[in-house]
Amino acid sequence: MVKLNLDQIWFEVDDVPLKWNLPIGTLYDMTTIGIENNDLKQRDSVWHVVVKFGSFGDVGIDGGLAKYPYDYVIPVELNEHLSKVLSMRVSAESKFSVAGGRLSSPRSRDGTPGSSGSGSIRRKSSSSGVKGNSSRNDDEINIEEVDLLADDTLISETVDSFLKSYWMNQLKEVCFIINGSSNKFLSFANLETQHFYKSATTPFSTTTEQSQYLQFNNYFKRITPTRSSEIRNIPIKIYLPLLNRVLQPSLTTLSHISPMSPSSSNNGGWSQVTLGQLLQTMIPDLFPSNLMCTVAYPVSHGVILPLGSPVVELFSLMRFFDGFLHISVKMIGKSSSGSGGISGLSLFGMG
Amino acid sequence: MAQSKMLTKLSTRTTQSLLQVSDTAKSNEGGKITIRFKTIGGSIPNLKQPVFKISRNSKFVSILKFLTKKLKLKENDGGKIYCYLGNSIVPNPDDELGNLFDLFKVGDELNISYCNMVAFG
Repeated sequence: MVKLNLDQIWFEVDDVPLKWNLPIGTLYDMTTIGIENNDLKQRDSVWHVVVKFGSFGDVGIDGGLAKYPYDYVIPVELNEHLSKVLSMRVSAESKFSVAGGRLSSPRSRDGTPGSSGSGSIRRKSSSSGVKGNSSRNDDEINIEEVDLLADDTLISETVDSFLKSYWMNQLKEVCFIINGSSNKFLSFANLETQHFYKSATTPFSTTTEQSQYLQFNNYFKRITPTRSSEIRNIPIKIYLPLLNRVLQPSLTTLSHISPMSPSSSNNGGWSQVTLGQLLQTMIPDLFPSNLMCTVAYPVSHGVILPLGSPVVELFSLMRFFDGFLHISVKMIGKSSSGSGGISGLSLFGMG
Repeated sequence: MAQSKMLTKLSTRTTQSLLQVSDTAKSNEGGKITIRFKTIGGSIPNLKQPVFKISRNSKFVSILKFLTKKLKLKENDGGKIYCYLGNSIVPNPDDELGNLFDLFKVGDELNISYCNMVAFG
């Protein structure tokens, strides 16, 4: 049987690896072309994504030639979370049996369905003789024995645990950027964090959409100051084309760029800073004007953003599930006029 | 290589200006930032020299590699390193240090605390 390492899978579009940690819509905006003039016909109706399997030690499915693009995509580290999930299961199981059926640990089981002891776990706990306590060492030894693919719930729980810890980190970062400390997010109760995460990540459907959006926003409000003058900074990530580069503007240091609004004195004047002003200050070559897109244009959620809108408002309306406002900068291109003269582009590779 | 297909569809003029931008972006932000390392708990040694300068363009992963090397940690005996900013945030390996510095600096230094086990869930 070919052993498939879950942390050796990634996706590519046009030989460019996709970062799994970005919202899929942002990736789509970054890798597709031609939405200027709102000409949607230019856009491919199908987004071709290639799934790649790498190898690390073992021979991969495609002969072991491909290598996980560690320089470009964050490695997916499942082992730690696998042991976390396993130890939770073992402790839930053993407590269950020791306590004679008394539900003593509802929190540790996290209410996941189907965790009533699948085949691989029983084998594991009996082979290592873990009863009652699950020390770290036991967990670490047992990871090797667990056949991930034989247990669907184990895969999804592990991946979910990994993704949740990533998401929590993003939210901590967002909270820090807005408030200057992560305390507001960290003070959530365990269960609240769980609900917040669920509201951010459960796929929308028409029946749940409204309430989930409200729930997410309610939680998000709790980590944002009530008065906009108390907002220190806004979490924005601006993706430049061509380079593997992200700009994260620090608005407090850009406070001098707001000459248009002398009347607004709150938070140093930057609450009125428009997207155009921000982009002009940061990348003047791509945005020579702060009123008109001449060389490049900003896109988020598949929409060309108006340069005249205040950044604060864009953030509150268009932030993503991880709390950031992701904006990709796209070049205005005349699709027919030139494919020559771009030799040497490989100089600016992925690094 | 990145987004190469997009580029072939751009006009020569646009490509020129884009290349120019990447040049200026590289030279402008080629400056260095100061980083101060701190340990969490006593289970991992302090660095003899806690302050370092590093280029703004480097990714956070280079910090992780640097610490692993300096502290002579070996991957196979569980010698993982966990780094935190502001005693709570775990930066992504592909975060740019310049961005992190602008957002999380204290005074004129970026404080990175490190530990050999998970310190902040």
